[in-house]
Amino acid sequence: MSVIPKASFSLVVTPLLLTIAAAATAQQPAPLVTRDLRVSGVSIDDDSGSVRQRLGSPVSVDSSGWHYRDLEIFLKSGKVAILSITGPSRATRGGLRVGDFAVRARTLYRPCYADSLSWFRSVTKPPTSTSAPSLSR
Amino acid sequence: MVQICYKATDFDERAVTVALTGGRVSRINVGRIIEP
Repeated sequence: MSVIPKASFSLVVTPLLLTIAAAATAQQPAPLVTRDLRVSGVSIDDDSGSVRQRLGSPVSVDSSGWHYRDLEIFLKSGKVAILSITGPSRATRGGLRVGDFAVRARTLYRPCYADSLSWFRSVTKPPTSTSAPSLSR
Repeated sequence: MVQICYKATDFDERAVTVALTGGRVSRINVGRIIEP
């Protein structure tokens, strides 16, 4: 015979289960969208003028791109093509930083990732295939 | 090791690539995949 009244058990367990379910749902990151491609106020496809307006003059410029502290910007046809974070003072929109443990990258991006080899295989399929790369590991 | 993260339902070259060194993130590239 239980010493916990049935009503009290429900009052305790139900909110606990709802809290656990809500936490699990909240931890599911969404697939990448355009606004995810933004670092330190600079977005992919911004023009070079916008970059200077946002970050100022780069520390250095060479043929590979513009170099800021902990951030390299690669331009293609005058527009930002790649934002490369090289140090811990910059973060992705999802909060990933250089120096974080690998498991954090997986936690933040796991629902939409593939390792480089499976990605390479997927993009080298014959052109008849239009499906997204497999997400299974 | 490099992980490539992309929009799963509609692959359109958006990507976050993560270089790992010694189990930690050593570089993060955000942008579009550019063919070599």
